[in-house]
Amino acid sequence: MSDDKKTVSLNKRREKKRGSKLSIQEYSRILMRTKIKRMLENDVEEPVSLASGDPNKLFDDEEKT
Amino acid sequence: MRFHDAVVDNKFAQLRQITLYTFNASIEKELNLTAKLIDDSALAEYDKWVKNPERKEDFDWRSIVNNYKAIYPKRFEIALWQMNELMSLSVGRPSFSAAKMRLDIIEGAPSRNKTIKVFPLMLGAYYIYAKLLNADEVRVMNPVNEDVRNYYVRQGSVYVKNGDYCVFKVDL
Repeated sequence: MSDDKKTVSLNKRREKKRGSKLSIQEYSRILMRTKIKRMLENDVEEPVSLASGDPNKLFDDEEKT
Repeated sequence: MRFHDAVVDNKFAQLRQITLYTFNASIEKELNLTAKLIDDSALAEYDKWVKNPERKEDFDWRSIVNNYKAIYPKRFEIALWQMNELMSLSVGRPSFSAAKMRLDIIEGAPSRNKTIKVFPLMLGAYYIYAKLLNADEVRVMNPVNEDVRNYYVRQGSVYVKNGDYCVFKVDL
């Protein structure tokens, strides 16, 4: 393979890698404008007494999950 | 504190700060919401929840936060504020291998502004922390009742009976 072709191939691989890996800021911006926004705006009503968790299980062995 | 423990503490303290900063930069400004760590001002606001007759759970956040901070350096913690009103508190942590993120405890303020759903916002912050750790799901542990569990399921999670948690996938 010529040097030019190698360079083109390498650049393509780099572009692909960049495209598939969002920065955390980009991820967050897209997340909040799509997935979270849909949850906020859909007609699923939030329970008034929203709560989860069991304080008695807080300090269980980590391996369980 | 051993040197290694101090390094871990410092690394995850930075990840919490990055998460909250990124989250705050991404939410719509008109909602007037801010996410912070659970500090003394959050716990002072929480004290007002204790006296609120609308409150259904009796989570002792002072005890939870003190113990959690002492034991889990990799924890995530968030206090969501709307202006000066505390909307919700939550603590969670990665699994042993950091492949999963668990939301251990969450509570919405009993008399919060009900026009805004707090859970999706809190979950969004967990997603960001999970993403930083390369975890692929957030597990919301032990929904307190069927209403809450159904709410999580209707918001896109899968309930896992053996373990009593709801799984939200971190992908976009």
